[in-house]
Amino acid sequence: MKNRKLAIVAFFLAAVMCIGAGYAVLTDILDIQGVANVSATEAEKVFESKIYFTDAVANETGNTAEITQNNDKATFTANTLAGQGNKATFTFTIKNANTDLDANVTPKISANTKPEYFAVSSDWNGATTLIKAGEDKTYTVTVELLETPTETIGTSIAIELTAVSVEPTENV
Amino acid sequence: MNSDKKKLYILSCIYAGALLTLCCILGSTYLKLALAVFSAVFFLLFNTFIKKRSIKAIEHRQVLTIMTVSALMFIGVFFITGLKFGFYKTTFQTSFLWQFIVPITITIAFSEKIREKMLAQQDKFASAISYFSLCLIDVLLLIENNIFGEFESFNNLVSMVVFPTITANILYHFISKRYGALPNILYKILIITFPYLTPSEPAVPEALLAFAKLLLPLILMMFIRSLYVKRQKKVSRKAKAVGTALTTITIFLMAGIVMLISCQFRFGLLVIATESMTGEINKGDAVIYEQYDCQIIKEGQILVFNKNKQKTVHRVVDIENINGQTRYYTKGDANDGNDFGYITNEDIVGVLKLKIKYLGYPTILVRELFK
Repeated sequence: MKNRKLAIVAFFLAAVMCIGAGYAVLTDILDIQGVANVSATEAEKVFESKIYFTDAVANETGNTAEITQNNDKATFTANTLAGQGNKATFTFTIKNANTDLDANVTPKISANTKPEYFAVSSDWNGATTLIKAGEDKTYTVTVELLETPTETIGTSIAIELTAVSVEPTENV
Repeated sequence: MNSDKKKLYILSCIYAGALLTLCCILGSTYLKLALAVFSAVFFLLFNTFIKKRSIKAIEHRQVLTIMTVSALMFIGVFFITGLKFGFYKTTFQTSFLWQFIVPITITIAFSEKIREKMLAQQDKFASAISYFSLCLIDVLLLIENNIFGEFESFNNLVSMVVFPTITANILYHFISKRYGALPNILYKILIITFPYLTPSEPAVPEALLAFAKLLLPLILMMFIRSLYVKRQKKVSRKAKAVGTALTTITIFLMAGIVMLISCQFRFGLLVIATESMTGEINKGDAVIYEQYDCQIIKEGQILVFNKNKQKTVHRVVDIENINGQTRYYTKGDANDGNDFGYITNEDIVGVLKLKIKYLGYPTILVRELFK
């Protein structure tokens, strides 16, 4: 009788622990922040001040993208990457508002602090692209989750933009 | 071994074996119907081959009343909790009467009569087989489909079905041995069939419901035992005092665990599944927080807040008051930069009070098994 009582009590305590472990709430968060900066030397400030973001779009519902003050920063957040293989794509547009100078623009993706979890790719593949005076160009960045996280994942993905003026070509 | 015992053992083994075979049609829409037919057939077999022994119990009408009233009270309290937690609509249909209610009632009635018959033989083997078989029948009556796909389904199966079934059958065995099958039949029919009869159900947190289902049968058994079962031996005052103290401690411990796990009361418990606060709070630790009730938040405090519909535990690094709105800027101690954006008072869940190292590891390990 006493053994049966002890068995019931032991089972009861074990059940309470199992139920507690099963229903305990976990903390979890997945957040990506992207920042695009336009940087310039003193000498090229005028030229580069006319190269800026005009649009930033998150292509999937649930993600956000926006251009912040002075149009010199574009931020994007991916909230929908939950499992391996999930992708988020972001599109941003850069305008060359110079009236007489074309610009060779090189967006550079750097500082992915969690390369084991995220793969960041782009449609320009690191190449320099020409934006003619007065025109704009759209770029796409894709972020893919390589591994389903079991922990909070935070990474800052920075895109640095380098713009170099192009000597105008004389038409003969 | 006499022939009656042989018949009892053979029939018990066939009963348990056939029941295990029924598990092959787990997930089938005909499972409950099959259980009803199975129970009826074996009731006839037990009636035919096993001798009838009567159970003498003076208080069986009082126990019948207690069990029925307890079931009704549980259902009543369950629905009253809907005033706090709200209600959600169930998929109620009139066809449930023939699809579920009738087969379940038949299964319960015949299976409890079989239990009564097996326990009346006062044989330990038959008692064990009847306990195992009736537990399995109860699980099959309560089980839903897709139980092994995700962690939540499996956890619900174990916490809401298996564990409560084990404790409930301890009660049913106790009652059946002394007072017959009828109290169990009425109790089970009420408890198991009422979800099929209501168009909406209270949205009680699953943790709370699991603990209540686990506890109720044991409380009921202790209550009936204290009323009607005479002690075999005299118990010394010291033993009584120790027993009372242990019971009191267990009750408080249980209440504390229920309160913390459900996160519905003043204090809540979270398991840290992230490394963003490594150094201060590591992955696998558990933290206890106090619900936010407009307390003053200071820089450096660690908050629990909702971000992207998930609970996060990070430190406040800056506080700003802009246009009358208080904004808290947060950061995980081990993260490179601040969290994106800010949180407001509406996002705050609670303020960290205590951390317990390593307590959360079993939860994390079990969930990772399912990933």
